[in-house]
Amino acid sequence: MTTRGRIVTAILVTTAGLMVPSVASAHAYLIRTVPVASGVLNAPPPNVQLTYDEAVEPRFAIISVTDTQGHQETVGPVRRSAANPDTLIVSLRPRLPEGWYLVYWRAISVDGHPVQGAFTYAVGPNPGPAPRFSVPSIASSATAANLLVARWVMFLSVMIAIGLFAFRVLIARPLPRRASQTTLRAVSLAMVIASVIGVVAIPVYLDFATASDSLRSVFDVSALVPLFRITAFGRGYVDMLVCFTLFCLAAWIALWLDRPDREHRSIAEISAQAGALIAAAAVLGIPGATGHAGQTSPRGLSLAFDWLHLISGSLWLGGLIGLLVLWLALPAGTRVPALAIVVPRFSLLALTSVIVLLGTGTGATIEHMPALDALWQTSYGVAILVKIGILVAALALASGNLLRTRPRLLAATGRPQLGESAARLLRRLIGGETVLVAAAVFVAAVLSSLAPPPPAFALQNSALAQVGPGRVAQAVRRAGYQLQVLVSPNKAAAPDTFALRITKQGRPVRHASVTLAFNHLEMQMPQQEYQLTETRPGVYSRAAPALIMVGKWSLAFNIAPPGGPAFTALIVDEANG
Amino acid sequence: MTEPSSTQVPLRLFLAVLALAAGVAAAVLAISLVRTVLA
Repeated sequence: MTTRGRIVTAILVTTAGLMVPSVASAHAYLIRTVPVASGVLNAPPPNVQLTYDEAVEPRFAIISVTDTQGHQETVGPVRRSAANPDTLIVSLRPRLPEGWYLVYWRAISVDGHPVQGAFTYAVGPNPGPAPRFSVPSIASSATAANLLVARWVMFLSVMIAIGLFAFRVLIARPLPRRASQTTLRAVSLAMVIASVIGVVAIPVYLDFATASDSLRSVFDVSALVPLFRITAFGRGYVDMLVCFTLFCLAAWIALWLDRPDREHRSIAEISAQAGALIAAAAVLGIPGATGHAGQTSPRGLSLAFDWLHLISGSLWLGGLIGLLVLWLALPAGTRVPALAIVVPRFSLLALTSVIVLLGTGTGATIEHMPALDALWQTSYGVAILVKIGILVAALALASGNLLRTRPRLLAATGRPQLGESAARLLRRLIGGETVLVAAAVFVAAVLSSLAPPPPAFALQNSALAQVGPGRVAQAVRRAGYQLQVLVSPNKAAAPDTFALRITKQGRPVRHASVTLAFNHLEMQMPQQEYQLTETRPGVYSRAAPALIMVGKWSLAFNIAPPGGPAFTALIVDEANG
Repeated sequence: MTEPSSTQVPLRLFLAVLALAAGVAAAVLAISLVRTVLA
């Protein structure tokens, strides 16, 4: 990366540090379970019921209930509760014996992301000590390569088709009139090819995504198509396909009607081009509405950022490809005068697009990041940094075009010997820029497939200590008290013991009220809270299988000492399986 | 390029109206989706 690139990155990261509070509810959120998580029942339950904060599609949901040996105890498929559409139910085998059971669930959120979680319960009255279950790692929710590539091809073809159309009718249109023996046929053809690929790529991506969500083969099309419109995510992409097809219809008509040899457009040309541009704007508004932007508050601002980001990205990418197509299609003799007309017109649009792209990208980053360090500590944040790095490199090439190639092409009208070398430099720089922008679109496809870090992530910045994995014995000071935190054995889905010794000036603090709140920092889950009881003078403890997933947890001890103000001591604990 | 013939003019206007209608239909669809999300 160039020095200039580093400076720009530093500015972007610093800008991203100006945090605004945001409430992300991008993913299905489990709000109630029957049986209660970590609870001990006197009789085996007839079923397991999971209630979410939104209606979750049962055909895309998995609820597995296993005993300590890993035997599956469910009977029949997951179904929706007749009483509450937000509740999923799975029946259990009758008369399950005493002991501990692990419930592992996976559901598809309205924005199409799989979310998962696990909890344990016991059938008593004497279930025995809670055993260790092997809980699937949350890393298994990462997206599959075929889905990412399908998503990338879809975005790339749609953006290129729209960008090429805008380039053709807004930037390159005067070319045949101003430079003799030039034609825009190659640009129109490239646009038609990109749009046909887009019309195919959208349903292919939808097929792949639905197959992945419903655990079916991508070739099981007859079963998958009826599922397309079941989730809000699927409905959004069906709408996108309809809108993009309408755009293609309008754009192809506009290209057929256009007569670029005339300076002024006819009413028919203006109407058709306006129709195509309106449809293009509509198409680019849909991915935001079906993705993270539509689920991140303030939603109106998030959608506007996403929409402008896609529009500016499309104009930049489509323009670059349009210039490459022109370079390749024009005969050597007409290439330099033609580029001298088109490049300066494109430069202005490209510069504006890049400014809007960076502004809206920074805005969206601020909205999605719960804290600055989420940029390098979460895969979502790292993807944003990689995208910024690629775009800064593309920007360096673009500035080369603006500062070197454009003046040379303009000067070539007076000194033709300058023209050929300037055109060669232009092709190299634009080729490189196109590859980089296409790579940035791939990173964007990865980014929009990852779950943004939950708001709880920001909690770790106020942590007094970072502990784990493994047994924890950590001393911290807070509000004039000495606190010793003990977590043993600190394993996920195991019966961990949490203890807190509170002393002040060497003397144990007795009769305090201590509660311990658990939040998973990498995944949205309901907060769990337990009251700790004083087992010895100044020592408050509780045994509970509270760390239900591997990963980082915030442990917030809310302490109300007798006769003193209440305070909170927060530590971040990493639990392994 | 030659002027469009008199038979071509209605065809051009029909196609232009079709393209404009396609654009408006796409916009209505997208706006309804966005309104659902914002609701």
